[in-house]
Amino acid sequence: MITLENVSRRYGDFVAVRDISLEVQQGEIFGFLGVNGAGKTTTLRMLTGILKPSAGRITIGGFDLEDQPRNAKQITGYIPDRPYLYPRLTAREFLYFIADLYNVPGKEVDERIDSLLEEYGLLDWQDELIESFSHGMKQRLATAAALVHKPQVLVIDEPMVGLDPHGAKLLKDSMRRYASEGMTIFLSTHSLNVAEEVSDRVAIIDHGSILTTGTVAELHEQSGEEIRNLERIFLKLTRGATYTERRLDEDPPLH
Amino acid sequence: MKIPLSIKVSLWTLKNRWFKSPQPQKRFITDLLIVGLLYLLLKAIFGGVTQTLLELEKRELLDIHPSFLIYFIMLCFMGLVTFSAGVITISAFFLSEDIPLLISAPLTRISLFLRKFAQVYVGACWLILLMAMPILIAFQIHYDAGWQFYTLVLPALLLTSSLPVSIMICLCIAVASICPANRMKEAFVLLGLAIVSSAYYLLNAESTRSVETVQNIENLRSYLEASSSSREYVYPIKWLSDIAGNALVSVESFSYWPLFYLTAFALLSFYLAYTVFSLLYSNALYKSQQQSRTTHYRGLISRKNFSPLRSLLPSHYRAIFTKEMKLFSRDLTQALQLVLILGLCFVYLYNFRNLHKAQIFSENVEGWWQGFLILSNIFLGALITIAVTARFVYPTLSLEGKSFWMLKSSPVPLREILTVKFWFWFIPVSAISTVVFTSGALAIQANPFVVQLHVLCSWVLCYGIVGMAIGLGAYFADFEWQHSAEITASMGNFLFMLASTCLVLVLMFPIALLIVLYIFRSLHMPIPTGSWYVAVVCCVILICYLTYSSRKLALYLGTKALRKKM
Repeated sequence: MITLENVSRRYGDFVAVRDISLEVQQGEIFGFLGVNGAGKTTTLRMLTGILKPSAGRITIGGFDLEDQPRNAKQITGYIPDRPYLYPRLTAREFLYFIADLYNVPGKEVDERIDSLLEEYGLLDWQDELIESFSHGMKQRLATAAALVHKPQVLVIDEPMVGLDPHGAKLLKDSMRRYASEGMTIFLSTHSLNVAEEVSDRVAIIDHGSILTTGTVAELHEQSGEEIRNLERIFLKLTRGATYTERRLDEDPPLH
Repeated sequence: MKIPLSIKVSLWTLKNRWFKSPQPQKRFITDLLIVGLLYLLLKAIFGGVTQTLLELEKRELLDIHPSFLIYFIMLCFMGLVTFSAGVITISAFFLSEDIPLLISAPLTRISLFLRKFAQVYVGACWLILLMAMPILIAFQIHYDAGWQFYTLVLPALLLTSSLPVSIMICLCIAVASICPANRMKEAFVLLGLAIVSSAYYLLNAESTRSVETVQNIENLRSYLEASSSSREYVYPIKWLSDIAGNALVSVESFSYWPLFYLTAFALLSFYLAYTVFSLLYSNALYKSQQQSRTTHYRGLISRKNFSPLRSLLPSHYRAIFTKEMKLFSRDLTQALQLVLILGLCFVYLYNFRNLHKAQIFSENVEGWWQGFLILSNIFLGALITIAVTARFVYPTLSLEGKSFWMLKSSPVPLREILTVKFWFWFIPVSAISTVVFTSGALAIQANPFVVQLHVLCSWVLCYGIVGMAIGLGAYFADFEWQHSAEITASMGNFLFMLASTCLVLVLMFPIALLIVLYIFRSLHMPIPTGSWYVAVVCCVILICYLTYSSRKLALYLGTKALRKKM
């Protein structure tokens, strides 16, 4: 459903994403893990067409993002880590706007918006201005907005930021349900618990390169760790990545 | 009816402003005040134009075709639209926060372009079009033209306004594909300075020409006609003025050719803008995003350049001074406002400079007139200082925005934070103010004592005005703003301007007393030296006491209000 072939992204001399290749199947929840600044958000922004890759090719549902961007975007929903929601619109108006952006048929709009507002606990707040919402409510509204057009692919950047335990559980349950209905979810996070709980497969990115890909069980086998724990595998692979210069000759990546 | 996507958000936002406001009464009063002020402004424009037309008629100058006059007015208006369109294009196409949302949506290229074009068009033209209305009404009433005048002129005006918008969109996208949009601040500052300097030289040349040649009505007529000769026309504005002029004079013999040209030109420029958008926009946008990740700001304001000065200051002064300097220098809106304020100073000084040409401040001029000129200079200088302060100093606390928690949770007391901010802003504002006051004094050929008085007044007034701006800015601080322009347009800022104008008016009394006594002495009136010195000392003490107290009170109120918000 999602394919990245030798994708790179440069900012001047700095390489944010280096020659990554991935394939995510339909109905799969794919966890994309990495420390801060590893290249996760850049990859997601390329997946959603906000950024153009410096090299490589991305396809969503068989549509090339470069050649058929409208088709690819039409089947994609995106929840950014810091979503911009027009502050002077109400929740319902914002969802109407998004429905228009994604050409949702007029007859279905109200029904979909009602069910999403109810699902994400925003029904009582639907006619309030977004500027009066808490961060968690904004995050739930952004999630609802990403689902208005029933996307086949959902790209989520740091989904649990600002959500209370109820909100977090709601989102995790929703993700599992959507995946079981055939939606492909590409999830970027540095929260290992979330990745371990919901992801079918994970990839670990560091300094713009994919270090390893597989299910949590496969990663455990590759790592040779006795205790099955994603955190230990992650820390082993990305040891000191952010804070000190990692010596690349130590602990080579597990492939 | 389905509302086009391009204007849906704006319409909903406007509707929610009234129906969803958390404080409807406050919103209602603010809007009422804005509408009232706008009405007065439009009425003043209408009155001014009507009076001018009557004066021209009285002086038998109105046999000049009205399209000449409309041409000059529209030329100024379109200049303003061009500048605004440039600024708004950069903001709407490259820096707007909804860009990622729109880009990730399956929008067609044309819908995205239409949405952004509408944003720029409305943003750049609404005020200008609003101000054009009383002018057109004044012309229509004066020339006794029928209602057909509006049906011809309004579409022509809308078409003409779309031209600078399309051209600026082309230009900005083209430039942004070479120089990233988020680094265009410097380009705009340079452009602004270039406009101000060329305006200065042009006006200087015009002024010399007009003083030399325009000595009577006939000279003025030929001057106007010569200025309106075809070689100096900007054609779309000429077409607009022809349409308006002909509709005023005779609708029967009206030629539709200018309207046809204008429509063709507007469509062509719109198509050109869309073509440039299609070809260059995505690259320009990616470039601006790329640049934002890799830009390293190592300008003049670096730690190294200021290290000797920094070591003299206490650490919290160093921290806040450096932060304020860096944030100010990197803010596009602030930089553009600075250019506009400099333009305002220039216009003020230019006008004041012309006074001495008439030899008003010579020996045979009466004392009261000299005193009036000095006081006017000080008062107008103070108003300019208030304008600068209202734009740059008043918002400084609110601009901390959601990051104010950092200052609040630091070990520096709130009162000290306000004091540091006061000293940070007092230095540049008093520098600008000193230049304005002194230039004004020199322009009216004042003697050294009066010049010194001006300099002292500028410092003392700045002390009070900047103190009030910081204090009231803290008192009315709003950390939840969506756009920095909201703070400048807030009720709090309006009250600050009123309060500081009152302070200036109160201070004018002791200053006026000093000046009157000085003029009496210089006119050899019998004022004993001892009494003179007593009067000077009393006035100076009173002025200092008033400014010190107002600053202290404002900072006290500001600190108290900030504590309540914690």
